[in-house]
Amino acid sequence: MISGGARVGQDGIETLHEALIPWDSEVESSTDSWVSGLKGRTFFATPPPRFGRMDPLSKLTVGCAHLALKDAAAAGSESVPEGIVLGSLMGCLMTDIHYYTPVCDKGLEHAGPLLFSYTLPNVAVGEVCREFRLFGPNTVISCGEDSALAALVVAHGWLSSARASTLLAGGVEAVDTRVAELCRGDSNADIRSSAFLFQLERRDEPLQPALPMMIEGASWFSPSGFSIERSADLGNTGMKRLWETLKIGGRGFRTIDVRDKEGYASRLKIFIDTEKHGSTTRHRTQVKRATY
Amino acid sequence: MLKSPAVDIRGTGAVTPYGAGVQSLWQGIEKGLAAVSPFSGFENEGFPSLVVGKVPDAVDRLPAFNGLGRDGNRAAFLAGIAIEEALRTANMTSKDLEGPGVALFLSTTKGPISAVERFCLHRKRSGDVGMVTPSDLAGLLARTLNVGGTVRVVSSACASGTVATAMAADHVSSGRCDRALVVGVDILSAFIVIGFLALKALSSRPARPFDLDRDGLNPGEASAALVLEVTDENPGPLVQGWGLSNDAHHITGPDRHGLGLAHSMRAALKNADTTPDRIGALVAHGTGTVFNDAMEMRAIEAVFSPILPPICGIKGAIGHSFGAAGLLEAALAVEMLRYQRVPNTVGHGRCEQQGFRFKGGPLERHRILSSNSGFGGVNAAVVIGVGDSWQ
Repeated sequence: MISGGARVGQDGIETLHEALIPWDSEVESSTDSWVSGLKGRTFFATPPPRFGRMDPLSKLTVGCAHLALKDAAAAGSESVPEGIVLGSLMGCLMTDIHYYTPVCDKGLEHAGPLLFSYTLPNVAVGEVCREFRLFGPNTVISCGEDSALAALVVAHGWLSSARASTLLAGGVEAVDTRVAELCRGDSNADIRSSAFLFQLERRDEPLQPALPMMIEGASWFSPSGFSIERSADLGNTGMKRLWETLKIGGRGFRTIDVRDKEGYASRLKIFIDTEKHGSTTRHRTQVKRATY
Repeated sequence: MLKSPAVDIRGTGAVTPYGAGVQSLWQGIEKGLAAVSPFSGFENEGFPSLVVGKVPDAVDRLPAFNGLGRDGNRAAFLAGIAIEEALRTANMTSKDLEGPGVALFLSTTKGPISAVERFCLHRKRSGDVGMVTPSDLAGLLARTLNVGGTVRVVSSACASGTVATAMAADHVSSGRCDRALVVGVDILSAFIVIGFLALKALSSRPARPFDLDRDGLNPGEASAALVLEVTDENPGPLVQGWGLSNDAHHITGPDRHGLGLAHSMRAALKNADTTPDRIGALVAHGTGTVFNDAMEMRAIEAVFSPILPPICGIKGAIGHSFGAAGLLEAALAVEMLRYQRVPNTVGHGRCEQQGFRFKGGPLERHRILSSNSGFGGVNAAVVIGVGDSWQ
């Protein structure tokens, strides 16, 4: 069951049960730089003391996790996540470059131990676990542009086999112009930072959803690749469609699938019934503008 | 937690600082030989003296699976060597890894890190940098093998190999694939070594896991591969259970009490439907750093007291190969079961705590628990054992 969720993107922040809160200023760059300037107060009334020292991937992951947890609680969930599965194609590439460039320019003594600590994508997961006291199963997976969807598939499997009863899962991409240059050969290439995280709960009664339910998921690979353009949403390709599906509501099975040029593919089948239980979208009467 | 069907380890492959082959790893460890050595091979200026576990140059002349890494991609090359052996020991051909019923799990911390190093060094992308992300590397392996099932990179820092083994075993046992190839690889890179220097986590001497005088780790490189499937016929060594956890404590420092690691060990034992007294040996993470090893000893005491099983660790012998480590340790566990032996922990001399055994000896029970911990507070444990009919 998808009991709550949040997304953070170039246009602002949004939860499954609340409307979009746009950023308070225009984001002009096509490869968004907003992710470098994220502040703790964007997400938290009282930001965690460590927030300012985190790398952009961790800030985005911790902030989005906080919103997803709040959203699930606001929707009536009393469950507490035990673990997290994160999907990311680019992982900590942005931090890798920021850590290693001064080393190349100025020498070994300019290697920052703190920044080096963030050159593993699962450290962002570690920050989430630390902040929200998740002691259970956790990992980061990467499988092309369906990384986030595949993370949901993994989480679905862990819930189904009772590895955990509640998990956070989704995808986070934190990129900037240097990552665009490295990966696409053009610093202006259209690649986007974004985060989508959901709180997923195990429910044994099938098709009696108070909230959308994940029914099944699968991932596979085509060695010859798929003839499609690379996506600007990187590992979060498919998340926007899942998000819109959940927001629009309706009744019945919905299938979200992603295929990428490399050959990675994932499919997630969900069941929604918002006609019976009401839309997952409730708009705030007062929309606050977010800051970054 | 539902009990998972045990998954057969059909084949193992490895390339380590001892050279190519799981047997060279086993024999080196059994003989107590250290394969770490002084190293000064990085281009960056100002490096202090380092002791590392480097795969010997002689391996460079060996053929890797389907020519992997022929273009100079060292991670792909080492992976290709390990895959070649895993297939051979599984009595399989490349055809057996083709198609939609086969999954590939790649365990790595930095994958093709050379592309990032070159990019930062030259301040620009120099021509076609080729693969950049670990996902690119997994894609290359999957295309070369013609794998058509699930393909995933698992990034759980130094626990990646054990997490990948657990995820692959879960994938096989739940029927989501017929067979899984798990590959772990990381290469020696200035990027990683400089970072650990900055963290003051490297020893200038061969590492001494769990030793009273331990003072840091030796970075290394390696690759290992496992072929997993469920089989009713003559099951050999099995992945019997696994557990994952997080310390939720600190991103680089382990929980001093070892609570997270103990949690993952207990979860693995429960999943394997076994108890601590039925474990014949532990293959520990044992990096040789002060805090990791102390944390591990606390966790082992918490789970296994009053009688601790014998413990062995490989990082004093070959260095810490990060994403490959957990898989090498699984491959070693298979050899321990085969030879009914627990090898010495190379580099270990004296222990500050009572009750711990790091000297080799007979393996008295046919189950081994292998565990790893890593940055981000991640912990992972797998139970590897044999069925009653295995000889």
